[in-house]
Amino acid sequence: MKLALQAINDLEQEGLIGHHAIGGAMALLFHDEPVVTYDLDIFCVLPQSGPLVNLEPIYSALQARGFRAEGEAIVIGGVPVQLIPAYNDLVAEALALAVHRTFEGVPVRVLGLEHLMTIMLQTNRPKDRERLAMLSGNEAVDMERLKGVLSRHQLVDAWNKLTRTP
Amino acid sequence: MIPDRGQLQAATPAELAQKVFASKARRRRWLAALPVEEKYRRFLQLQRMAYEIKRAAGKPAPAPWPDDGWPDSAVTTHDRS
Repeated sequence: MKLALQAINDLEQEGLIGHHAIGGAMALLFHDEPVVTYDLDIFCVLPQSGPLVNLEPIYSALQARGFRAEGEAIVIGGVPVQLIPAYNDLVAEALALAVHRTFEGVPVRVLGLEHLMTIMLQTNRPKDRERLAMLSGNEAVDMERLKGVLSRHQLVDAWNKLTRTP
Repeated sequence: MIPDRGQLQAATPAELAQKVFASKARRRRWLAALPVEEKYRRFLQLQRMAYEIKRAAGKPAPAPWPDDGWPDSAVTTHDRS
C-alpha cells in the first residue's frame, strides 16, 4: 500500500488531482480495528477545465508509470486504487478537514472519524450500517463533532433512526 | 493464551456470556489502538483468510494484496492483551 500512497501523493504534487484523503474501509484502519476490503478509496478534488469531470488524464498518467487499469480502478503495487471525486458537500467538507497521519513513513491524509461515520450514514449500504454498528463503541468518536457534522448535512434524523433502541 | 479463571466462570450462562462479550469489547479496543502499520499487517492476514475461505467454498475471491515484504511471522494472532 505504501507504493500506492506515494503514487497518489505524486499525483497531487503534479497538480493532476487536488487535495486527497484516504476514505472507506482503509480509512477505518487509522481509526479503528481492521476490516476486510479489496480496494483503496481515495477521495479527491479534481481539477475541472470543461463541462465534464474527467479521470482519464489521471489514469493515463498512472498507466504511463506502468500501473494497469482494472475496471474503474488502477492497480498500484497490487492494490486496486479507486479515485472518487468529492461528490457532494459532505465529502468536500470531509476532505477539507481530513487529518494528517503517516503510513510507513509516507505522509497521508485520512478522512476524520466523524466524517467517515456521516458518509457511511448517508451512503447507507448494509456494510455501512455494519461498520457504523462496529464504531458505536469506539471511544475515539467525538460526539460533539459528530453532532455538528450530522446537523450541517441534515442527517440528524437519519442518525437518530439508526441508533434508536427498539 | 488462556484467560484468568475469573473470566471463565460465572453464576449463570447469561453472566458468563456478558463476560465473554466484555472480553471481546476489550480486544476490539486493544486492536483499534494498535499502530496503523500493525493493523495493516493484520488486515492483510484477514484478506488472505477471506480469500482461502471463499476459494475453498468455490466462490469468486478477490486476490489478497501483496504484503510489501512483511513476513507472515510478523502477524501474530495469539498475543491478545
